[in-house]
Amino acid sequence: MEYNEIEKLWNKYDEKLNTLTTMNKLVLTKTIAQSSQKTINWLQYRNYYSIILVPLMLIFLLHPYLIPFNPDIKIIAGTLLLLTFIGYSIWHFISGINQLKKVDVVNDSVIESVNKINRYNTSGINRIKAQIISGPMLLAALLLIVWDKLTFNPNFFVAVAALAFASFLFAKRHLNQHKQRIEKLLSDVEELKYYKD
Amino acid sequence: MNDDNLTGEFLELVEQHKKMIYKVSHMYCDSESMRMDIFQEIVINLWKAYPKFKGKSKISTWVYRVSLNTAISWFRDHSNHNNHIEYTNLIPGFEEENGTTELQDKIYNAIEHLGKIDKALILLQLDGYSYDDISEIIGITKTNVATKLNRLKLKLKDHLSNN
Repeated sequence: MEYNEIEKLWNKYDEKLNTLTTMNKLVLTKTIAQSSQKTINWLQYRNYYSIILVPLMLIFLLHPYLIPFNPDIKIIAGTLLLLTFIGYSIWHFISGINQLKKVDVVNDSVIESVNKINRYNTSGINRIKAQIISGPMLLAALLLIVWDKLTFNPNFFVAVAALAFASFLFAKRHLNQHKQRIEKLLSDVEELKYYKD
Repeated sequence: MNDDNLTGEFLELVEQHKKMIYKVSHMYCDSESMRMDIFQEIVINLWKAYPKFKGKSKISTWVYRVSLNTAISWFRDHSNHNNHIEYTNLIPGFEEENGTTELQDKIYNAIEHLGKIDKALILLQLDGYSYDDISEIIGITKTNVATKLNRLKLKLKDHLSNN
């Protein structure tokens, strides 16, 4: 098939589209009336939610150990690690929200739009990397904080082994997603480079 | 302008450009339900931006830009099913039109392998847009549009002859 043939097919297709039934204006009116509900999209909502939820959950879980503050070196080290983890997570979530906010479908050209989406994807990939790297750090922080309350019996070791296995599966899944996203991003970046020439 | 007038005017705009929005939705998604989601998203983005449209560019160029950008960045919202309304009858009977499905399959299969920006370029070219308009929507120079389109046609020709 030649390009001209596609053009002919396109014109035929375009003519056929002229005969399509009139749009359902009632449904369309309903769509635009409900549009305000979609102001914050799911990803932004998830980011906001995580910013609040992650620190709250950790504080809730650890408050019995943190409130009667004992200046033990293990608790101090664990708390510092935990705060680093929380700070790092919040920074990533905020940077994700900022990248999303920059995408302007009304005023951006297609190239600008793709460029901004690539930047958002890059920040998403970095977030996955950070999650994978900071997982053991979080575990270490939690163990250090509750160290004195731990009983080192067989059940404890089974629980730690189960947790390590679950973390391994989680990290493996994340790594696969990470790989796919990188491949996709690289092809997008290549295409964009071609247009910047 | 009151809300009813604005809504009426907007519905007229969508009516006039429904073909364009449909083509863009089709170009960037192969599943029917997601296409409807993109269609819905484009309409919503147009509605949100419509009161601020200042007429600096042609209305069709503006609709195309919003549609293409929304379709390209649709991944941001595609997981959002909480606010999903059943849109299957937004364009009633559309898929049943005589021979339309077969025709659109042929065309979209031919350009399926192209990248996001290439797809946008070819779509605009097939719809008869001038290099000036394409340049404004895509965000590259007019000379660049001409060069890229020539290369794209050769690429398409190669691909089609190999398949």
